[in-house]
Parts: sequence; C-alpha cells; structure tokens
Amino acid sequence: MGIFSNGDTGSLTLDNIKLDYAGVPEPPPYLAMGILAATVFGRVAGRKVQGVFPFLETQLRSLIA
Amino acid sequence: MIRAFTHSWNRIGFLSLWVALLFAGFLPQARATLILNDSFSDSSRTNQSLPNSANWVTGGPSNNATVSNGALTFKDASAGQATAMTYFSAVDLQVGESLTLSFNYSFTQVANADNSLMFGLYNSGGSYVTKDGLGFNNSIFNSYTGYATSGVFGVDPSGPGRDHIEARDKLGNNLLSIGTYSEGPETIQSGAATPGQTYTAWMQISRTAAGITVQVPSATARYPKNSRPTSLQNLTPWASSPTAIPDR
Repeated sequence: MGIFSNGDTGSLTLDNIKLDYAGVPEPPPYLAMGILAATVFGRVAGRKVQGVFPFLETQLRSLIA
Repeated sequence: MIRAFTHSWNRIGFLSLWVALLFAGFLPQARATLILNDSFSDSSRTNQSLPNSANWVTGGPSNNATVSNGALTFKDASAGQATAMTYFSAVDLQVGESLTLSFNYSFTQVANADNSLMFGLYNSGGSYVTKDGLGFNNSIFNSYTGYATSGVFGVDPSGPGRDHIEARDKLGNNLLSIGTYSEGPETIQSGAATPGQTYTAWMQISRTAAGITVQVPSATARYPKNSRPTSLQNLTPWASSPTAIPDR
C-alpha cells in the first residue's frame, strides 16, 4: 500500500489512515434448511412418536444451557 | 383430545425452534476486519503494531517524514519526497468482499497540478522496502501489481473531486510511472487542490462474481473476471463510469 505526492509543493499531512476488509455473508441456507427439516421431521415423527419429544427437548435444553 | 393434540404440536414447535437455532450456530459470519487504523496517536511513524500503527517507509529522506499531533507530515511535498509505503498480510478477496482504503490529507501549498496525490493497493509478492530513502524507482517494485488512483479527492468546495483509476499490470521499477499502468476512467482533470483544505481520499476494491470493481469518489472501473493483476496483463476495464466534474 502506498501514498505518493505527485508534484505538489509545500508540506503534506496525512492522518486517520484506515484499511477496512469487509465481507458480505453468503445467503444463510442452513437456517432455512434447518427450519424446514425440523418442521418436516416434527410433522412426520410427531404423530407417531410424540413421547420422544419431551426427552429430546430436555436433552437439547441441557446441551444449550 | 384436542387439548392433547395442541400440546403435542407446541412441543414440536419448540423442537423445531431448537433445531433451527442449532443450525443457526453454523451460519457463516460476515467478516469485517480493520486491517489498519493508524491515527498516529503513538507519535511513531515506524512502529509496526497493526491495526493501530503501521511502519511507514518513506522513499525520501527520513527527516522529511515526521509524526506529530496525530498526523504524518512531509516537510517537502514535491515529487518523490512525500512518499510512504506500508505492508500488511496479503488478502485474497472472495466474492462479496472488499478492501477500502481511506485517509485525510492536506497540502499547505500546491503546484498548478491536478494529480496532487496518488495512492494504491498493491501485491508486493513479498518484495518489501525495509528502509527509508530508496525512492520509488527501484527493482523492489518491478513486479508490484495492483490498483491506484490519483487526483484531487473530494469533498472540496468545487465538488466531489477529480481523479482517475489505474491498474498496475506491467513490469517496471518505477512504481509511479504511468507506463506501468493501464489507465481506467478519469474525470475532468483541471485545477489543483486548495491549500489548507482537508480532503478525504478513499478507494474501494470489491470482488464480485463478474470480476473486480474499483471505486474512488468520482469514478468506477469494472475489470473482468479473473483479471486480478496477480499475473501481468493489460487490464482494460470492461465498464467504467467516470463522473464528469465541471472545471472550477
């Protein structure tokens, strides 16, 4: 990175020099996929094995807490 | 029965939420890093402690470039004397990412020249200047590639500024020689900077799916895909949009 005076005279003052590296995130497919998968799973499995859900909830809560 | 059914679906809703949150934990995070933020508050020109302080090497004599009152000042700003270079770890821009360089500057006196100042971001390829006084016509710079801009950068009373964009894509020892650059769009070049006026200069290099976009206050150049000047080639922007600024 360079800064050059190009023919002027007198003195030159520089301050507050910043170089910012910014990224724009990719679209978040995982969140949509997660919601879709959980919803489908819930709808399919919920009717047949409802008793599993309280157990899973408890496990998830303990994992996240 | 209805109550039991509702209760069950509430639990399913909870589970869905937890699963979604778990997935959310793996979401890619937006990167935003201030590589350099040099306010010269440490009163040092040579202290390398990024991001808050960089080691600025001058091409002119060491005593021409001093730091005081939170600024880097060159006593003599004539051509070749007021030059500064610093280095940071290489950044490989991915699609959607950008580098933005900005700073404030002012001259106490000006010549009747429009290209008061030039600055750029280069790929040094690991060829570094390690001491002052080596000028900017040196074999060290022979294969530097990158993008630069020169002019009078806004905002000043005459408008947003007058500047143009160049891509350094040719071999050459002289880093300031226009012969080593492919010139891009330029605004109307007329008049000099105003003495005592503080200007804000900036340049942004962005990577898009189509290629590289270089933007300065009054001009934009778009270079084709895979045209990053990591290999030498003639870089002609496939689209450019200079903004014509009336003469003062």
